[in-house]
Amino acid sequence: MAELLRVEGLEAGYGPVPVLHGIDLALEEGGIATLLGANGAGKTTTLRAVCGMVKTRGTIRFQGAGIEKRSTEDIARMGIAHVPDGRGTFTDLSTEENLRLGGYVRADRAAVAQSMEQMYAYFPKLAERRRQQAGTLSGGEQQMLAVARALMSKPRLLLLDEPSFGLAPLIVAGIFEILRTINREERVAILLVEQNAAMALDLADHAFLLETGRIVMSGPAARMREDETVRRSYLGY
Amino acid sequence: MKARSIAIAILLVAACVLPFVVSNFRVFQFTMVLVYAIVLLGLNMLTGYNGQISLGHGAFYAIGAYTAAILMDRFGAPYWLTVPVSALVCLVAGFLFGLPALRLEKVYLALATFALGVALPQILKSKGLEHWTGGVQGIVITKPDAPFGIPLSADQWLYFFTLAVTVAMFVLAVNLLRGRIGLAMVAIRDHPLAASAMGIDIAMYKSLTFGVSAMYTGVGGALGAIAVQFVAPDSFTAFLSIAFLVGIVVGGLATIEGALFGALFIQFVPNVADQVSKAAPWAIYGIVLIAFMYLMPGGVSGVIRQAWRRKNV
Amino acid sequence: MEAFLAQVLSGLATGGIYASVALALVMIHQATHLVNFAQGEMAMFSTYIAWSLLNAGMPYWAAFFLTVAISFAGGMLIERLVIRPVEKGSVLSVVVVFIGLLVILNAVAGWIYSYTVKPFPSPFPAEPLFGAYVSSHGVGAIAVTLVVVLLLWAFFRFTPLGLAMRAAAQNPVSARLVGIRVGWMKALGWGLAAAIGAIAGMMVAPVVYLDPNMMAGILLYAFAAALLGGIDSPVGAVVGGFIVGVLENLVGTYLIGNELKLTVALVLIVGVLIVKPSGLFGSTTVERV
Repeated sequence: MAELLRVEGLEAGYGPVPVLHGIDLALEEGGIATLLGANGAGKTTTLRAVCGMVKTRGTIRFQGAGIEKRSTEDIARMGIAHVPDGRGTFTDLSTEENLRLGGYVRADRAAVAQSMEQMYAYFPKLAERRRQQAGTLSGGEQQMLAVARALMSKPRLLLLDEPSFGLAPLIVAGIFEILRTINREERVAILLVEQNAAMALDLADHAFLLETGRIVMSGPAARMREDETVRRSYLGY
Repeated sequence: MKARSIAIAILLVAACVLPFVVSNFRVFQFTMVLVYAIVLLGLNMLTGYNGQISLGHGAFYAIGAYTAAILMDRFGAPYWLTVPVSALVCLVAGFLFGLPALRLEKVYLALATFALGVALPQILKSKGLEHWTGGVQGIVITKPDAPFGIPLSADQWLYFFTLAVTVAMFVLAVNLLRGRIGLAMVAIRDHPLAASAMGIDIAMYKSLTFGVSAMYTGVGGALGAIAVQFVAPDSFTAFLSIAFLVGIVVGGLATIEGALFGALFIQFVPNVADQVSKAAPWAIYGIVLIAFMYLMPGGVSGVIRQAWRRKNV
Repeated sequence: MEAFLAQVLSGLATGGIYASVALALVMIHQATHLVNFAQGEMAMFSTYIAWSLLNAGMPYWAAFFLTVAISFAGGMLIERLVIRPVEKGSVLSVVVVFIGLLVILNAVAGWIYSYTVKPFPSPFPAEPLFGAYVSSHGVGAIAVTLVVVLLLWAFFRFTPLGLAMRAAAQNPVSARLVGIRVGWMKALGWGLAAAIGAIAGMMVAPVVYLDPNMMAGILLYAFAAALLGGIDSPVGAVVGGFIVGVLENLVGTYLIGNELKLTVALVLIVGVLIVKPSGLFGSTTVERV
């Protein structure tokens, strides 16, 4: 399996405040990895760094090419789709317009329309609300919309920042199930930041544990699930 | 700062010697430099230190100028009385204007004052106020002669009178701005939320700053009216307000000495540029505004201070 | 009654001009959150370009569309070269740069074309077509305004680029995440605003005659209209423009006399900002502390 994403020695911060102190991680094509850690550990910053939204030092390679100096929009065009924390929905636009924007970079209009139908198949709730203003959708629906929008660009890598945040467990389970399907059928790699460690470790093949800007543990998700420190601190038992 | 005191002393001596070594017309021009210095001090207080952007300060200049002209022409008041009266009128006017202005964000205050500046000449020409303002033709006043038979020309006497007022206004400004009040003003400009959390009464400070700023500009207006011996609506267009903006940008925002550099700039540059073409002064102003924002946001004062600091390192 | 109708109609005609300039202001504010103090001078300069083309013998509509195209390009250039460097700076530095732009455009126009007033032709017939209430040019100006508004609405509603511009204006961060080049969307917004301004200038010049200070008062009315309608609402800009136009005429004729008309704009601006800053169609945004 070819390597899709490799991050080495990544340092990043906001202005004078450093958040990441040298991170290494890797993800293979079609793999699912999860980034776990407490609030403030730097999980969101890591995703932002990959997308060029913060100033970084170190290397980030995507499909072999270095992307650490690229702009966010260029990185999006290369095949990385980011579902940010807070969802980043275009709240004043309709559901359908949000989806169309997800497919903005693709040239083939017919294929984009097809993808949209596919998204409606994955998320029937969105089909019901296609003309509705996105800001009026429920939390769960907005999360679905955010994921669907990201998938519209046919990315090779999907970055998800706390998709379970503020959502009922049943809805989260539904979304995770769809992520599983998409990973299986479209070979989309997923890098998942989650506070809900149990669900994340269930979905992922591989896990990284982030503490105050450093990776303190990494390994196959199954092994991490059994680890005592992880169980105590993040799984609650 | 010994160096600063020496510089000020040299400046004062030069200022006192000046009227005796140049022609009367030049004396008039330097009187206007002093007038503009007072005005720019006022505008800088509001916009540079306190962050309230005014693109319409020409209005307060006009109020001061017309107050002086009406007092002298309609009421026969002595010239020296016009200065404190204009100061008071503009202090009140500025404070009253500052009250509603409090609620406006910076760019919208800029917009409202811009509108004031554009609409002003029309208001001054209006029939309703004509009886006082002299309408389109304005009011003509005469420069006072030196009192007590002192052997100075009218231009020279007015120069020294203006110089005295200028020095007083600068001293007042230093006392206001170098202490707690100045700090509060800057705090309000940069971090209003933090400032109010620290107990600074933002509303009072902002309105008072508006008032004091208008007062300075009005004093300048009164002195300017006497120097020019004439007030008319078309002297107070939006471009006057813009010229003041150029003055504080060139001189240095949030500096006191910047008022002097800016005043020299807006008095003499148009005179020179005018000879090239009628449009040249404003082309220069426009380029200067943009260039200074890109390259020298601290103005001339900023450059001097930086150079001084480097020399002393 | 007839006189009143005439005032209303002629108010609508000038209102169309205000609506156009207000629309340009709203477009730039939506795309960049900046107030374009130089919008009037940009429109004035475009009109002078049209005058040069006409003077060189070009037929009216050729000159018209060429001017719109040149203005579009010019607007984009101004955004990339002049505004971009200070965009992220303090409000004061941005305002200063805008005033600088205003002043330069005014001065260059005065330098190239002199300050003498010039006549500017109207593409519409001289005879009034609809009785004596309003000139054909007035009707034509209203029609042009409505066509421009309609084209813009269609552009933003139905085209992918229009959608991308809307997205970039509302949420630049998310727009980048879907691959939209936000910087170029801003430039496009400026280009469109410049083009609209050019059209407004060419519609108003036949009435007020062309001179470098032609747009100062009109800009004020446009600001009043944009604020009245809601600084982020294109619909508001258009409605506001027509309201301001009619109001200006009626107040000027029946209340305070024509010589104080600019004061109407001033009062409207200050009034709206103090009483209802979000305007008729705008939404109040809550500032996150």
